[in-house]
Amino acid sequence: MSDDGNPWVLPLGFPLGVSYPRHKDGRIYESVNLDGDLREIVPASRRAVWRLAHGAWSIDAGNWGRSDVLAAALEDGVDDPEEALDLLISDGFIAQIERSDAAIEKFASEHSVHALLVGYGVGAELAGNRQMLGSIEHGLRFMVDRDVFDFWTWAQLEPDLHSAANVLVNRPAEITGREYRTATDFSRAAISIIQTLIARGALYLLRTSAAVDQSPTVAPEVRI
Amino acid sequence: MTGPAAVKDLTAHTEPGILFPLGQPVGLTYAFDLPASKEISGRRAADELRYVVRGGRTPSTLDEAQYRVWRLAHELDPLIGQPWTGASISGQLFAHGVPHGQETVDRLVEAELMAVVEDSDASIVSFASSVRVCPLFVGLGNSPEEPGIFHIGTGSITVASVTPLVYLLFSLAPQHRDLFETVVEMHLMAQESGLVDAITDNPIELLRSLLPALLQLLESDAIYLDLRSSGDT
Repeated sequence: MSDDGNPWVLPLGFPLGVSYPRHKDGRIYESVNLDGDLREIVPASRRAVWRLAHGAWSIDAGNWGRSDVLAAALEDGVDDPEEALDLLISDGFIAQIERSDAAIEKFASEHSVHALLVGYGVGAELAGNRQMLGSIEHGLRFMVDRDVFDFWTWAQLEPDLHSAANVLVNRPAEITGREYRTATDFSRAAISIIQTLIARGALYLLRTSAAVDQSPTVAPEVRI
Repeated sequence: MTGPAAVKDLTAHTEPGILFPLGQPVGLTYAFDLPASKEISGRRAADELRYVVRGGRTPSTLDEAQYRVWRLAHELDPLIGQPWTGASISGQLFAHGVPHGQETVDRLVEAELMAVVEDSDASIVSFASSVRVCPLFVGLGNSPEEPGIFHIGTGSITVASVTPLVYLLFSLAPQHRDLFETVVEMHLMAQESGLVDAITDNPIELLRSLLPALLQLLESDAIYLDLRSSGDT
């Protein structure tokens, strides 16, 4: 079945968890560092959809889209998840990416990736193509494919995903286990890798300053 | 788990040159998997597994002894509950049968996998301007029972519990090029929100007061310190 009508959705910003009030009205809110501002998500339905957009419910799938998040939200009994998702997208907490080359390129040039957790590499006992990420001291470890590990290690050094794709597309196939024809092909595959890592708590996405600067604002005042 | 109440007054430590470990562990890796790397453990076979720590854009390969010293630098000296200095860590290593501890520390410093921070404004600011705080976990927020304590971890795992001020540092760090820039913005916000009550109104003093918390976050693996990218201006 084609996924063309099911755009990817990805959470943006550095998650800061649920905070309990200092607010006098007693509301609970989800905090996110978004573009350097500490922003809040207050309504319960939006907080639920924000969490679902991290995909932990689909940890082995790594290729979810808008309709998958909405289905998961309905299953969880979230009120009007479609409206909640659209508001999160318009407020910049979630990116929605159509599955076209142009949309992928735009997303790649406007977002950077940031790796969480620690790498354990191959290890003598870990033959084959899987490598380990996690934090053993805290009882957390899981295996990922070599291309995912390679992306986790190196993509964060580039200012945006587009630059990362242009560097990593040239990594030898014997190291990553994958081969890509173009940087756009790489970026397309990277979205699934990003989803896999976000679902495991091993990555977050930030908008680049260029993307933030390009956000719609009021027209500049012209002085004569 | 170490709670905020357990954070000691490490700034009272009088020995010069506190060690801060730098870099993110990549794990055991074959040499041929790496782009150009710093080989600080001497020449070895290409198919030999080695420990890799990435600082800035460069991965460094370490032998097991070097890696152990680097990991040890994430902890406090267990004898006195204070951060390591070059002298104290080599003394500890010597007591455990490692004769060349100081040499290992020197090589790690040279490879920019460790920083030595003296107790002076110049040294502290220079350090904070050359590194950035990188979270290894996300923020988990607080709880209605203890609204003054914030947690860091993932899912149901909590790796560190910190004061609102330290949580602010952790929260703001991802968007900044270096630690000093984070602290300057943090200082402005802390003044506005009243969090700065207990400390001086000078950003450098705020930075100095946060160094123990930085060590606490490093010890619990909540963060690592990366080199500020040379491309950042």
